[in-house]
Amino acid sequence: MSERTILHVDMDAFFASVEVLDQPELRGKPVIVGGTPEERGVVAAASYEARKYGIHSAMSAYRAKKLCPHAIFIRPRRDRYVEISDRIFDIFYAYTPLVEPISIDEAFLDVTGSRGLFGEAAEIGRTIKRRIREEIGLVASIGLAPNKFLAKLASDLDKPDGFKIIEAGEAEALLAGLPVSRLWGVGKVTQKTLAGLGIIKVKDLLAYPKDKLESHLGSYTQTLLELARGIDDRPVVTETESKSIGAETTFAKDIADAETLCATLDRLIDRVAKSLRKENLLAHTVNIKARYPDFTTVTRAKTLPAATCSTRKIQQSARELFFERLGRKGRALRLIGVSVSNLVLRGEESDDLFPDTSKQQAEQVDRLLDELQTKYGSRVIRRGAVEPKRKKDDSE
Amino acid sequence: MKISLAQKVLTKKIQGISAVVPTKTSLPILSTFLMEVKKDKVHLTANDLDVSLTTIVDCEIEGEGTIAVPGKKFFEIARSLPDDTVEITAEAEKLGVKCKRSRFRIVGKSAEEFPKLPEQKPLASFTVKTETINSMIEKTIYAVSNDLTRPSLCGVLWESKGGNITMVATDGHRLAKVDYEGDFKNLEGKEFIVSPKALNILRSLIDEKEEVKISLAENHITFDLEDSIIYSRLIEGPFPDYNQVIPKQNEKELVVNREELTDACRRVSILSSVITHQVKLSITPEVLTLSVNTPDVGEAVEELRCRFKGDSLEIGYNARYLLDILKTMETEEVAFLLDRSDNTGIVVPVDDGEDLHHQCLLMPLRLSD
Repeated sequence: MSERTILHVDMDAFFASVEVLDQPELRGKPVIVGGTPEERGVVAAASYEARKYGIHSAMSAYRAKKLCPHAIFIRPRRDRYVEISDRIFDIFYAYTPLVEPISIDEAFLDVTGSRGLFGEAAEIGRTIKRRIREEIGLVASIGLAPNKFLAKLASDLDKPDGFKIIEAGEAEALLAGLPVSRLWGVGKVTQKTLAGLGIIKVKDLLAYPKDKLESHLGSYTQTLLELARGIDDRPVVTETESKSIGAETTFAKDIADAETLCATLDRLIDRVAKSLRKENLLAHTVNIKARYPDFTTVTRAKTLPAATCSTRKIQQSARELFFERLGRKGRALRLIGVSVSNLVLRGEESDDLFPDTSKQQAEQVDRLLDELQTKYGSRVIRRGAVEPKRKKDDSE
Repeated sequence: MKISLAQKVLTKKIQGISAVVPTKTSLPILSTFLMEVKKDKVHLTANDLDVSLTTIVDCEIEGEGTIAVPGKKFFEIARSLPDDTVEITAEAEKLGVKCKRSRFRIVGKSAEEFPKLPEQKPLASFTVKTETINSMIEKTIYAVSNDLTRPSLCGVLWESKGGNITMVATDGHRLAKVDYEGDFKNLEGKEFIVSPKALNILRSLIDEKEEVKISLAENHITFDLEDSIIYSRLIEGPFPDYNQVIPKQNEKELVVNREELTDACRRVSILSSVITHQVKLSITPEVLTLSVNTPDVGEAVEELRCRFKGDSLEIGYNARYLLDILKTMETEEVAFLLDRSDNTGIVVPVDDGEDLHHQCLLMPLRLSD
């Protein structure tokens, strides 16, 4: 494989910055997004102004208030963050399909194949940073390197409003002086183990005899030593490759009634199908999961003749799996779940020579319901219940 | 009822009709065979309500009668018997089987319960060489859809115009069409959709026969092979207007050696996505490059000699679909008639000197870059 170019894009104080964006009067003030001190809440994000007081995420809001009594506490508005995040990811996808989301405000981009198309990698990085600032109004820190580990390190080293490139040749020298906790996978426990061996910095790690290290760290040693030299060949994994989409629910009380189970199943299917459509994906496989009161868990899967994101089609298969293939024989369940897998991006499938009009109509209904529910909430309109197809044993 | 015949003959005949017996059924009578002994012939019939197969057995007959026999058990018994004469008797819905020192009594069902075939006046009858019909089925059946929500696509369309017979099958992503130039005047204008199950059974039975007599009725079709008769309910149409989707302006022609392309496609597709099976064809005037690039799996490239008229083109296909098509062609070379990379491609055999004209459509996959 030729030399790769990976970007790590990380939004600066994302939640707090979105709040400042929407309420410009907050600019320059210590803003804390999260629970309030009165209700024993926790800090989810803090603006850089708040961080100056030593406030960081996961700290109790009560303590944050003590550190900075005039801080402005804001309740998180998750929908708004998702909306802004989608717009940021749209910018990423304009430069490469190989985007690995890590969280709502952080992603790896493999731009190796995009270099010729959009100019040098550094130029792509700077353009993305500029577009996020101009089109969204937010600040991102970007790291650029030959692999994921170094790209993340680069963006972390130059934060906020950073843009840092780590070249393959300079990685080892740069890493040498850093604490081992900067290496991927070195948490508090490993850090302590290493400190016990006198290893504080990365260069200490490289100087330590490998076999002795192995007796303490086992198989992780090899990976750790490679990281210490700036080597990391993990690929950027896009969402569709690894993902399945699912929903499940555990009942407060075990349920045997077929109608209640079917209604629950339908609600889960609705949720799953909706996320599929939102992500612009089609599923090849429908899976159901059932857990009995004794905790035995049974799953059933069905491969569809054609990939779909239609609520109706997923419902047909899931109900068939549930009522005909599960073999529940009227037993009560404590958990029921639905998921779809073998996902492809819409468009990766070939078009249909004979577009199915009933399918198109069903798609329109799906889209309309999605829009209404997004706009007015999921209770405003729902699919009517259809009498579930049942086997005799369910009514017994 | 009393008959006797060789164990080998009995086993072979039952095995033949076992293909019709449904594996799962809510109607217990469908898991039986109907055994009818009349005058000098024994008829064995299996029926799944869509397809029925009757096979005629020559044997020694001492008494007439009819009975429905549990199919699976009877087949297991017949298969396990020694290679000798088997004597079969029936009395009060019990079937007796005797062979050397083995004796069986199997609980059967009344023949009355067995579903009867509806009597319908044939609309047209015609005779076709088995070799021809076999080839036509082989060239189309792989493209039949299994999407039960689109029933008309779950069968092979037969239609007749100008004395020719055309068979078409499609699942929406690919389409296979084969024309046979003949003289089927009494079929003119007829259109019907035949279930792939019936066609597969027909193919399994025609190897030793020269001709098959086909009768078409309002709702069913019958294939008569003298010692076997297949009856199949027709699938309700309408079949979509396939002529409308056959591209008329695909002017870029790619010609490539069929075996080389098949081998290369098989090799590179080892690394293709298990979901989309995408393979990319990069076409230049003399070189066709097949390539696969699947994140997390790997990359594969293979170059082939080709002849191509037109500007260079890149197009993505489902490798499995492409291999399915190539498998049904016999000529040394195949031609792809193409337009743009997002348009339907046509694949045809080159110099197909026979009386069969074969054409396949393949929808492209969008290339990810």
